[in-house]
Amino acid sequence: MNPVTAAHLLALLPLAFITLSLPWLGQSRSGVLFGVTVSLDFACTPQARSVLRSYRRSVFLIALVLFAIAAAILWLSPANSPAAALVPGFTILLELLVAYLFWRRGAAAIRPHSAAIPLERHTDLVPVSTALPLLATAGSLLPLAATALLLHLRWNQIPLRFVRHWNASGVANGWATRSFSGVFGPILAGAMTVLLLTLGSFFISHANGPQMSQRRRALVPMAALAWLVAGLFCVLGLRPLLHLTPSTLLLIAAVYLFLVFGLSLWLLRRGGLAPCSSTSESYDSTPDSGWYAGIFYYNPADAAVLVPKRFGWGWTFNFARPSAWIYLGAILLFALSLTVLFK
Amino acid sequence: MQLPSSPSEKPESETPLLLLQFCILYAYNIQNMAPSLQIRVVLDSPTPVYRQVADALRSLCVGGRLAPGTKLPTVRQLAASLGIHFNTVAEAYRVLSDEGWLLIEGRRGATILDRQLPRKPNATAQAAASSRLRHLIAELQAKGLSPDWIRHETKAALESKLP
Repeated sequence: MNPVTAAHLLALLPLAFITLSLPWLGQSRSGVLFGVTVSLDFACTPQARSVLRSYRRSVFLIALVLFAIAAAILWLSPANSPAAALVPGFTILLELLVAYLFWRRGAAAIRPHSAAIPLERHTDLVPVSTALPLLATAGSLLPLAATALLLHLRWNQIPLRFVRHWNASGVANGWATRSFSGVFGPILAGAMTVLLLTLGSFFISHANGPQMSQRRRALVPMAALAWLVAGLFCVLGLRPLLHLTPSTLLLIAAVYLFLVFGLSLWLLRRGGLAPCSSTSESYDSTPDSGWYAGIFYYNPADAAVLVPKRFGWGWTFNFARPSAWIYLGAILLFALSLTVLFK
Repeated sequence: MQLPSSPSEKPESETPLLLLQFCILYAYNIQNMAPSLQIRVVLDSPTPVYRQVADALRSLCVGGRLAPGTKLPTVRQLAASLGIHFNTVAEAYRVLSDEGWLLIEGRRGATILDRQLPRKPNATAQAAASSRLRHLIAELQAKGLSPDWIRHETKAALESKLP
Protein backbone atom coordinates (compact mmCIF):
# COMPACT_ATOMS: atom_id res chain seq x y z
CA MET A 1 0.00 0.00 0.00
CA ASN A 2 1.45 3.39 -0.91
CA PRO A 3 1.84 6.01 1.87
CA VAL A 4 -0.87 8.29 0.40
CA THR A 5 -3.50 5.52 0.50
CA ALA A 6 -2.35 4.54 4.00
CA ALA A 7 -2.57 8.17 5.18
CA HIS A 8 -6.08 8.46 3.69
CA LEU A 9 -7.15 5.27 5.43
CA LEU A 10 -5.71 6.51 8.73
CA ALA A 11 -7.63 9.78 8.36
CA LEU A 12 -10.84 7.90 7.57
CA LEU A 13 -10.57 5.40 10.44
CA PRO A 14 -11.43 7.81 13.29
CA LEU A 15 -14.14 9.27 11.09
CA ALA A 16 -15.64 5.82 10.50
CA PHE A 17 -15.48 5.07 14.22
CA ILE A 18 -17.26 8.30 15.13
CA THR A 19 -19.83 7.73 12.37
CA LEU A 20 -20.63 4.31 13.80
CA SER A 21 -20.77 5.42 17.44
CA LEU A 22 -22.82 8.61 16.88
CA PRO A 23 -26.24 6.88 17.03
CA TRP A 24 -25.49 5.96 20.66
CA LEU A 25 -24.48 9.46 21.64
CA GLY A 26 -26.77 11.22 24.03
CA GLN A 27 -28.80 8.66 25.93
CA SER A 28 -26.84 6.34 28.12
CA ARG A 29 -28.38 7.22 31.46
CA SER A 30 -31.51 5.99 33.17
CA GLY A 31 -33.99 8.63 34.30
CA VAL A 32 -32.91 11.01 31.54
CA LEU A 33 -33.81 10.67 27.89
CA PHE A 34 -32.62 13.25 25.35
CA GLY A 35 -31.73 15.52 28.26
CA VAL A 36 -35.26 15.39 29.71
CA THR A 37 -35.93 13.89 33.14
CA VAL A 38 -38.34 10.97 32.76
CA SER A 39 -39.52 8.19 35.03
CA LEU A 40 -37.04 5.33 35.38
CA ASP A 41 -39.16 2.90 33.35
CA PHE A 42 -40.14 5.37 30.61
CA ALA A 43 -37.16 4.48 28.42
CA CYS A 44 -38.60 0.96 28.07
CA THR A 45 -41.99 2.16 26.78
CA PRO A 46 -42.92 1.93 23.06
CA GLN A 47 -43.06 5.76 22.73
CA ALA A 48 -39.50 6.14 24.05
CA ARG A 49 -38.21 3.29 21.90
CA SER A 50 -39.82 4.82 18.83
CA VAL A 51 -38.17 8.26 19.40
CA LEU A 52 -34.85 6.56 20.13
CA ARG A 53 -35.07 4.40 16.99
CA SER A 54 -35.93 7.40 14.83
CA TYR A 55 -32.99 9.38 16.30
CA ARG A 56 -30.51 6.56 15.77
CA ARG A 57 -31.71 5.88 12.22
CA SER A 58 -31.58 9.56 11.18
CA VAL A 59 -28.17 10.20 12.76
CA PHE A 60 -26.70 7.03 11.28
CA LEU A 61 -27.97 7.76 7.76
CA ILE A 62 -26.79 11.40 7.74
CA ALA A 63 -23.43 10.45 9.27
CA LEU A 64 -23.01 7.74 6.65
CA VAL A 65 -23.74 10.20 3.81
CA LEU A 66 -21.26 12.72 5.30
CA PHE A 67 -18.67 9.96 5.68
CA ALA A 68 -19.13 8.94 2.02
CA ILE A 69 -18.73 12.56 0.88
CA ALA A 70 -15.61 13.01 3.03
CA ALA A 71 -14.11 9.76 1.73
CA ALA A 72 -14.75 10.81 -1.87
CA ILE A 73 -13.17 14.27 -1.34
CA LEU A 74 -10.18 12.72 0.39
CA TRP A 75 -9.65 10.14 -2.35
CA LEU A 76 -10.05 12.56 -5.25
CA SER A 77 -8.07 15.52 -3.85
CA PRO A 78 -4.28 15.76 -4.36
CA ALA A 79 -2.18 14.30 -1.55
CA ASN A 80 -0.85 17.62 -0.25
CA SER A 81 -3.93 19.80 -0.65
CA PRO A 82 -4.99 21.64 2.52
CA ALA A 83 -8.57 20.48 1.88
CA ALA A 84 -7.50 16.85 2.37
CA ALA A 85 -6.07 17.71 5.78
CA LEU A 86 -9.18 19.59 6.88
CA VAL A 87 -11.85 17.18 5.60
CA PRO A 88 -11.81 14.61 8.48
CA GLY A 89 -11.98 17.22 11.26
CA PHE A 90 -14.63 19.26 9.47
CA THR A 91 -16.74 16.15 8.82
CA ILE A 92 -16.53 15.08 12.47
CA LEU A 93 -17.73 18.55 13.54
CA LEU A 94 -20.55 18.42 11.01
CA GLU A 95 -21.59 14.93 12.14
CA LEU A 96 -21.62 16.04 15.80
CA LEU A 97 -23.71 19.09 14.89
CA VAL A 98 -26.21 16.93 13.00
CA ALA A 99 -26.39 14.46 15.92
CA TYR A 100 -26.97 17.37 18.31
CA LEU A 101 -29.78 18.81 16.16
CA PHE A 102 -31.51 15.42 16.00
CA TRP A 103 -30.96 15.06 19.75
CA ARG A 104 -32.76 18.37 20.32
CA ARG A 105 -35.59 17.12 18.08
CA GLY A 106 -35.74 13.99 20.24
CA ALA A 107 -35.85 16.18 23.36
CA ALA A 108 -38.86 18.05 21.96
CA ALA A 109 -40.64 14.72 21.39
CA ILE A 110 -39.85 13.47 24.92
CA ARG A 111 -40.61 16.71 26.82
CA PRO A 112 -44.40 16.02 27.13
CA HIS A 113 -43.46 12.85 29.06
CA SER A 114 -41.09 14.57 31.49
CA ALA A 115 -41.51 13.61 35.12
CA ALA A 116 -40.62 15.24 38.43
CA ILE A 117 -38.23 12.76 40.00
CA PRO A 118 -36.54 13.34 43.36
CA LEU A 119 -32.95 14.51 42.88
CA GLU A 120 -31.35 11.62 44.73
CA ARG A 121 -27.63 11.22 45.31
CA HIS A 122 -25.93 8.32 47.01
CA THR A 123 -22.46 7.23 47.97
CA ASP A 124 -20.55 4.46 49.65
CA LEU A 125 -19.37 5.29 53.14
CA VAL A 126 -16.34 3.04 52.83
CA PRO A 127 -13.86 5.14 50.88
CA VAL A 128 -12.21 3.50 47.87
CA SER A 129 -8.53 4.27 47.54
CA THR A 130 -7.61 5.74 44.18
CA ALA A 131 -3.86 5.65 44.81
CA LEU A 132 -3.19 2.61 42.60
CA PRO A 133 -4.84 3.81 39.35
CA LEU A 134 -3.47 7.33 39.90
CA LEU A 135 0.03 5.91 40.39
CA ALA A 136 -0.45 3.78 37.28
CA THR A 137 -1.33 6.91 35.28
CA ALA A 138 1.62 8.90 36.65
CA GLY A 139 3.84 5.81 36.18
CA SER A 140 3.59 6.27 32.43
CA LEU A 141 6.16 9.05 32.93
CA LEU A 142 8.75 6.32 33.55
CA PRO A 143 9.13 5.10 29.93
CA LEU A 144 9.38 8.76 28.88
CA ALA A 145 12.13 9.33 31.45
CA ALA A 146 13.90 6.17 30.26
CA THR A 147 13.71 7.41 26.64
CA ALA A 148 15.11 10.80 27.67
CA LEU A 149 17.98 9.05 29.46
CA LEU A 150 18.71 6.88 26.41
CA LEU A 151 18.75 9.95 24.16
CA HIS A 152 21.10 11.69 26.57
CA LEU A 153 23.45 8.70 26.71
CA ARG A 154 23.53 8.31 22.93
CA TRP A 155 23.63 12.03 22.19
CA ASN A 156 26.64 11.62 19.87
CA GLN A 157 24.81 9.03 17.74
CA ILE A 158 22.01 11.48 16.95
CA PRO A 159 22.45 13.09 13.50
CA LEU A 160 23.00 16.84 13.47
CA ARG A 161 19.84 17.21 11.35
CA PHE A 162 17.03 14.65 11.20
CA VAL A 163 13.56 14.39 9.65
CA ARG A 164 10.74 15.58 11.89
CA HIS A 165 7.78 15.52 9.49
CA TRP A 166 6.70 13.93 6.24
CA ASN A 167 3.88 14.95 3.92
CA ALA A 168 1.10 12.56 2.85
CA SER A 169 3.22 11.31 -0.08
CA GLY A 170 6.00 10.27 2.30
CA VAL A 171 8.32 13.12 1.31
CA ALA A 172 10.20 14.77 4.19
CA ASN A 173 9.09 18.37 4.70
CA GLY A 174 10.23 19.20 8.24
CA TRP A 175 13.62 18.84 9.97
CA ALA A 176 14.91 19.18 13.50
CA THR A 177 18.45 19.80 14.70
CA ARG A 178 20.42 18.07 17.47
CA SER A 179 19.42 20.61 20.08
CA PHE A 180 17.63 20.32 23.41
CA SER A 181 14.22 21.28 21.96
CA GLY A 182 14.78 19.26 18.77
CA VAL A 183 15.65 16.04 20.60
CA PHE A 184 13.72 16.31 23.87
CA GLY A 185 10.71 18.25 22.49
CA PRO A 186 8.51 15.16 21.90
CA ILE A 187 9.46 13.72 25.31
CA LEU A 188 8.51 16.99 27.04
CA ALA A 189 5.25 17.14 25.10
CA GLY A 190 4.52 13.53 26.10
CA ALA A 191 5.35 14.26 29.73
CA MET A 192 3.04 17.27 29.74
CA THR A 193 0.22 15.24 28.18
CA VAL A 194 0.69 12.50 30.77
CA LEU A 195 0.73 15.11 33.56
CA LEU A 196 -2.48 16.57 32.18
CA LEU A 197 -4.05 13.09 32.15
CA THR A 198 -2.86 12.49 35.74
CA LEU A 199 -4.27 15.82 36.89
CA GLY A 200 -7.48 15.05 35.00
CA SER A 201 -7.71 11.64 36.71
CA PHE A 202 -7.16 13.26 40.09
CA PHE A 203 -9.84 15.85 39.39
CA ILE A 204 -12.32 13.25 38.09
CA SER A 205 -11.86 11.07 41.17
CA HIS A 206 -11.84 13.85 43.76
CA ALA A 207 -14.04 16.67 42.46
CA ASN A 208 -17.30 17.34 44.22
CA GLY A 209 -20.19 15.71 42.38
CA PRO A 210 -22.44 12.67 42.04
CA GLN A 211 -21.47 9.24 40.64
CA MET A 212 -18.18 9.11 42.54
CA SER A 213 -17.84 5.32 42.22
CA GLN A 214 -18.48 5.50 38.47
CA ARG A 215 -15.97 8.30 38.13
CA ARG A 216 -13.37 6.29 40.02
CA ARG A 217 -13.91 3.37 37.67
CA ALA A 218 -12.93 5.70 34.80
CA LEU A 219 -9.41 5.87 36.22
CA VAL A 220 -8.39 2.49 34.77
CA PRO A 221 -9.04 3.47 31.12
CA MET A 222 -7.39 6.84 31.86
CA ALA A 223 -4.27 4.97 33.01
CA ALA A 224 -4.38 2.83 29.85
CA LEU A 225 -4.67 5.98 27.75
CA ALA A 226 -1.71 7.56 29.58
CA TRP A 227 0.46 4.52 28.78
CA LEU A 228 -0.65 4.58 25.12
CA VAL A 229 0.22 8.29 24.90
CA ALA A 230 3.57 7.78 26.65
CA GLY A 231 4.43 4.90 24.29
CA LEU A 232 3.59 7.00 21.25
CA PHE A 233 5.76 9.91 22.43
CA CYS A 234 8.60 7.48 23.26
CA VAL A 235 8.53 6.27 19.63
CA LEU A 236 8.46 9.89 18.41
CA GLY A 237 11.34 10.76 20.74
CA LEU A 238 13.43 7.82 19.50
CA ARG A 239 13.07 8.81 15.82
CA PRO A 240 16.59 10.28 15.53
CA LEU A 241 18.08 7.03 16.84
CA LEU A 242 15.79 4.51 15.16
CA HIS A 243 15.72 6.11 11.67
CA LEU A 244 12.07 5.16 11.18
CA THR A 245 10.59 5.31 7.68
CA PRO A 246 7.21 7.00 7.05
CA SER A 247 5.56 3.62 6.38
CA THR A 248 6.79 2.24 9.73
CA LEU A 249 5.45 5.33 11.51
CA LEU A 250 2.12 4.92 9.68
CA LEU A 251 1.99 1.30 10.80
CA ILE A 252 2.67 2.32 14.41
CA ALA A 253 -0.01 5.03 14.14
CA ALA A 254 -2.47 2.45 12.77
CA VAL A 255 -1.77 0.06 15.67
CA TYR A 256 -2.29 2.94 18.10
CA LEU A 257 -5.55 3.96 16.46
CA PHE A 258 -6.84 0.40 16.78
CA LEU A 259 -5.80 0.26 20.42
CA VAL A 260 -7.52 3.60 21.15
CA PHE A 261 -10.66 2.43 19.31
CA GLY A 262 -10.58 -0.83 21.24
CA LEU A 263 -10.39 1.13 24.47
CA SER A 264 -13.22 3.42 23.37
CA LEU A 265 -15.40 0.46 22.37
CA TRP A 266 -14.76 -1.16 25.74
CA LEU A 267 -15.76 2.11 27.45
CA LEU A 268 -18.91 2.39 25.33
CA ARG A 269 -19.83 -1.17 26.20
CA ARG A 270 -19.10 -0.64 29.90
CA GLY A 271 -20.85 2.73 30.00
CA GLY A 272 -24.17 1.13 29.09
CA LEU A 273 -25.73 1.84 25.75
CA ALA A 274 -29.30 0.98 26.60
CA PRO A 275 -30.96 3.50 28.93
CA CYS A 276 -33.71 0.93 29.44
CA SER A 277 -31.42 -1.48 31.24
CA SER A 278 -29.24 0.98 33.13
CA THR A 279 -28.80 0.67 36.85
CA SER A 280 -29.65 3.33 39.41
CA GLU A 281 -25.89 3.94 39.58
CA SER A 282 -26.05 5.89 36.35
CA TYR A 283 -29.08 7.87 37.45
CA ASP A 284 -28.81 11.58 36.78
CA SER A 285 -29.34 13.88 39.75
CA THR A 286 -29.36 17.32 38.21
CA PRO A 287 -32.49 19.42 37.68
CA ASP A 288 -33.58 20.08 34.08
CA SER A 289 -33.71 23.79 34.93
CA GLY A 290 -29.91 23.86 35.41
CA TRP A 291 -29.22 22.78 31.81
CA TYR A 292 -28.87 25.25 28.95
CA ALA A 293 -29.26 23.94 25.38
CA GLY A 294 -28.93 20.47 26.95
CA ILE A 295 -25.15 20.70 27.15
CA PHE A 296 -24.18 23.50 29.56
CA TYR A 297 -24.87 23.04 33.26
CA TYR A 298 -25.09 26.20 35.36
CA ASN A 299 -26.69 25.74 38.75
CA PRO A 300 -25.48 27.97 41.61
CA ALA A 301 -27.65 25.98 44.02
CA ASP A 302 -25.71 22.78 43.31
CA ALA A 303 -22.40 22.31 45.14
CA ALA A 304 -21.30 19.69 42.58
CA VAL A 305 -18.45 20.72 40.28
CA LEU A 306 -18.61 17.68 37.99
CA VAL A 307 -21.96 16.32 36.82
CA PRO A 308 -22.81 13.57 34.33
CA LYS A 309 -23.24 14.85 30.78
CA ARG A 310 -26.64 14.69 29.15
CA PHE A 311 -25.39 14.76 25.55
CA GLY A 312 -22.37 12.52 25.16
CA TRP A 313 -20.41 10.41 27.60
CA GLY A 314 -18.55 11.30 30.73
CA TRP A 315 -18.94 14.36 32.92
CA THR A 316 -19.12 18.09 32.47
CA PHE A 317 -18.59 21.13 34.66
CA ASN A 318 -21.12 23.02 36.70
CA PHE A 319 -20.12 26.40 35.33
CA ALA A 320 -21.61 28.13 38.37
CA ARG A 321 -18.64 26.87 40.45
CA PRO A 322 -15.41 28.91 40.32
CA SER A 323 -13.24 25.76 40.55
CA ALA A 324 -14.74 24.57 37.25
CA TRP A 325 -13.38 27.71 35.54
CA ILE A 326 -9.99 27.28 37.21
CA TYR A 327 -9.71 23.71 35.94
CA LEU A 328 -10.90 24.70 32.46
CA GLY A 329 -8.27 27.47 32.44
CA ALA A 330 -5.57 24.98 33.46
CA ILE A 331 -6.56 22.63 30.60
CA LEU A 332 -6.43 25.49 28.08
CA LEU A 333 -3.06 26.62 29.44
CA PHE A 334 -1.69 23.08 29.08
CA ALA A 335 -3.04 22.80 25.53
CA LEU A 336 -1.51 26.16 24.65
CA SER A 337 1.88 25.21 26.07
CA LEU A 338 1.80 21.96 24.08
CA THR A 339 1.13 23.91 20.87
CA VAL A 340 4.02 26.29 21.65
CA LEU A 341 6.32 23.35 22.46
CA PHE A 342 5.55 21.59 19.19
CA LYS A 343 6.18 24.74 17.14
CA MET B 1 -4.80 -37.28 21.26
CA GLN B 2 -2.74 -34.59 22.89
CA LEU B 3 -3.41 -33.97 26.52
CA PRO B 4 -3.79 -30.35 27.63
CA SER B 5 -0.53 -29.03 28.93
CA SER B 6 -0.20 -28.74 32.69
CA PRO B 7 0.54 -25.36 34.32
CA SER B 8 4.06 -26.56 35.08
CA GLU B 9 4.76 -26.77 31.35
CA LYS B 10 4.14 -23.04 30.92
CA PRO B 11 7.29 -21.20 29.90
CA GLU B 12 8.95 -19.87 33.02
CA SER B 13 9.48 -16.41 31.55
CA GLU B 14 5.71 -15.77 31.53
CA THR B 15 5.18 -16.60 35.19
CA PRO B 16 6.44 -13.32 36.76
CA LEU B 17 4.39 -11.32 34.26
CA LEU B 18 1.23 -13.30 35.01
CA LEU B 19 1.91 -12.98 38.72
CA LEU B 20 2.34 -9.22 38.35
CA GLN B 21 -0.91 -8.95 36.36
CA PHE B 22 -2.72 -11.02 38.99
CA CYS B 23 -1.34 -8.83 41.83
CA ILE B 24 -2.38 -5.60 40.09
CA LEU B 25 -5.88 -6.88 39.36
CA TYR B 26 -6.26 -8.36 42.85
CA ALA B 27 -5.05 -5.14 44.51
CA TYR B 28 -7.46 -3.07 42.45
CA ASN B 29 -10.42 -5.41 42.92
CA ILE B 30 -9.90 -5.81 46.64
CA GLN B 31 -10.41 -2.07 47.00
CA ASN B 32 -13.72 -2.32 45.22
CA MET B 33 -14.89 -5.33 47.22
CA ALA B 34 -15.28 -3.44 50.49
CA PRO B 35 -18.72 -4.01 52.06
CA SER B 36 -21.17 -1.49 50.67
CA LEU B 37 -22.55 0.99 53.19
CA GLN B 38 -24.51 3.50 51.21
CA ILE B 39 -26.17 6.69 52.25
CA ARG B 40 -28.68 8.51 50.10
CA VAL B 41 -29.89 12.08 50.12
CA VAL B 42 -32.68 13.74 48.17
CA LEU B 43 -31.62 17.26 47.25
CA ASP B 44 -35.13 18.62 46.67
CA SER B 45 -36.69 17.02 49.75
CA PRO B 46 -38.43 19.25 52.32
CA THR B 47 -36.12 17.65 54.92
CA PRO B 48 -32.81 19.56 55.02
CA VAL B 49 -29.92 17.62 53.49
CA TYR B 50 -27.80 17.83 56.66
CA ARG B 51 -30.63 16.13 58.57
CA GLN B 52 -30.91 13.43 55.90
CA VAL B 53 -27.18 12.72 56.23
CA ALA B 54 -27.42 12.67 60.02
CA ASP B 55 -30.53 10.43 59.91
CA ALA B 56 -28.89 7.99 57.50
CA LEU B 57 -25.73 7.71 59.59
CA ARG B 58 -27.71 7.39 62.83
CA SER B 59 -29.83 4.60 61.30
CA LEU B 60 -26.66 2.73 60.33
CA CYS B 61 -25.31 3.15 63.88
CA VAL B 62 -28.56 2.03 65.51
CA GLY B 63 -28.82 -0.94 63.15
CA GLY B 64 -25.30 -1.99 64.08
CA ARG B 65 -23.97 -1.67 60.52
CA LEU B 66 -21.57 1.05 61.61
CA ALA B 67 -19.71 -0.54 64.47
CA PRO B 68 -17.97 1.53 67.16
CA GLY B 69 -14.47 2.43 66.04
CA THR B 70 -15.44 2.64 62.35
CA LYS B 71 -13.75 5.54 60.60
CA LEU B 72 -16.07 7.73 58.55
CA PRO B 73 -14.84 9.72 55.55
CA THR B 74 -13.73 13.27 56.22
CA VAL B 75 -16.29 16.02 55.81
CA ARG B 76 -14.82 17.02 52.44
CA GLN B 77 -14.61 13.42 51.17
CA LEU B 78 -18.24 12.69 52.00
CA ALA B 79 -19.40 16.04 50.59
CA ALA B 80 -17.46 15.43 47.37
CA SER B 81 -18.92 11.93 46.97
CA LEU B 82 -22.46 13.17 47.44
CA GLY B 83 -22.06 16.35 45.44
CA ILE B 84 -23.20 18.54 48.34
CA HIS B 85 -21.61 21.42 50.23
CA PHE B 86 -19.08 20.43 52.89
CA ASN B 87 -20.80 22.67 55.46
CA THR B 88 -23.87 20.42 55.07
CA VAL B 89 -21.85 17.33 56.01
CA ALA B 90 -20.06 19.23 58.79
CA GLU B 91 -23.45 20.17 60.26
CA ALA B 92 -24.61 16.52 60.09
CA TYR B 93 -21.43 15.36 61.83
CA ARG B 94 -21.93 18.05 64.50
CA VAL B 95 -25.50 16.85 65.15
CA LEU B 96 -24.29 13.25 65.56
CA SER B 97 -21.38 14.38 67.70
CA ASP B 98 -23.78 16.25 69.99
CA GLU B 99 -25.86 13.07 70.25
CA GLY B 100 -22.76 11.12 71.24
CA TRP B 101 -22.50 8.96 68.13
CA LEU B 102 -19.38 10.48 66.62
CA LEU B 103 -15.99 11.69 67.64
CA ILE B 104 -14.92 14.39 65.18
CA GLU B 105 -11.19 14.33 64.61
CA GLY B 106 -10.70 17.34 62.38
CA ARG B 107 -8.93 16.54 59.11
CA ARG B 108 -8.74 12.83 60.02
CA GLY B 109 -12.51 12.48 59.69
CA ALA B 110 -14.76 11.05 62.36
CA THR B 111 -15.00 7.82 64.34
CA ILE B 112 -18.13 6.03 65.47
CA LEU B 113 -18.32 5.92 69.28
CA ASP B 114 -19.56 3.10 71.45
CA ARG B 115 -23.03 4.26 72.35
CA GLN B 116 -24.98 1.00 72.66
CA LEU B 117 -26.65 1.96 75.95
CA PRO B 118 -29.17 4.76 75.42
CA ARG B 119 -28.62 7.80 77.54
CA LYS B 120 -31.42 8.64 79.89
CA PRO B 121 -33.49 11.11 77.87
CA ASN B 122 -34.40 14.35 79.55
CA ALA B 123 -37.89 15.83 79.52
CA THR B 124 -37.09 18.41 76.83
CA ALA B 125 -35.71 15.78 74.47
CA GLN B 126 -38.76 13.58 75.08
CA ALA B 127 -41.12 16.47 74.36
CA ALA B 128 -39.25 17.36 71.16
CA ALA B 129 -39.28 13.73 69.98
CA SER B 130 -42.96 13.39 70.78
CA SER B 131 -43.76 16.56 68.83
CA ARG B 132 -41.66 15.41 65.84
CA LEU B 133 -43.35 12.00 65.86
CA ARG B 134 -46.83 13.53 65.95
CA HIS B 135 -46.00 15.87 63.07
CA LEU B 136 -44.63 12.96 61.07
CA ILE B 137 -47.74 10.84 61.70
CA ALA B 138 -49.96 13.76 60.67
CA GLU B 139 -47.89 14.23 57.50
CA LEU B 140 -48.14 10.53 56.63
CA GLN B 141 -51.91 10.49 57.24
CA ALA B 142 -52.24 13.59 55.06
CA LYS B 143 -50.56 11.59 52.31
CA GLY B 144 -53.26 8.93 52.59
CA LEU B 145 -51.43 6.32 54.65
CA SER B 146 -53.66 4.47 57.09
CA PRO B 147 -53.03 4.39 60.89
CA ASP B 148 -52.75 0.58 60.63
CA TRP B 149 -50.00 0.86 58.03
CA ILE B 150 -48.13 3.47 60.11
CA ARG B 151 -48.44 1.27 63.21
CA HIS B 152 -47.19 -1.77 61.29
CA GLU B 153 -44.24 0.09 59.74
CA THR B 154 -43.28 1.70 63.06
CA LYS B 155 -43.31 -1.69 64.75
CA ALA B 156 -41.28 -3.27 61.94
CA ALA B 157 -38.75 -0.41 62.04
CA LEU B 158 -38.38 -0.69 65.81
CA GLU B 159 -37.90 -4.46 65.60
CA SER B 160 -35.40 -4.37 62.75
CA LYS B 161 -33.63 -1.27 64.07
CA LEU B 162 -33.33 -0.21 60.43
CA PRO B 163 -35.06 2.60 58.54
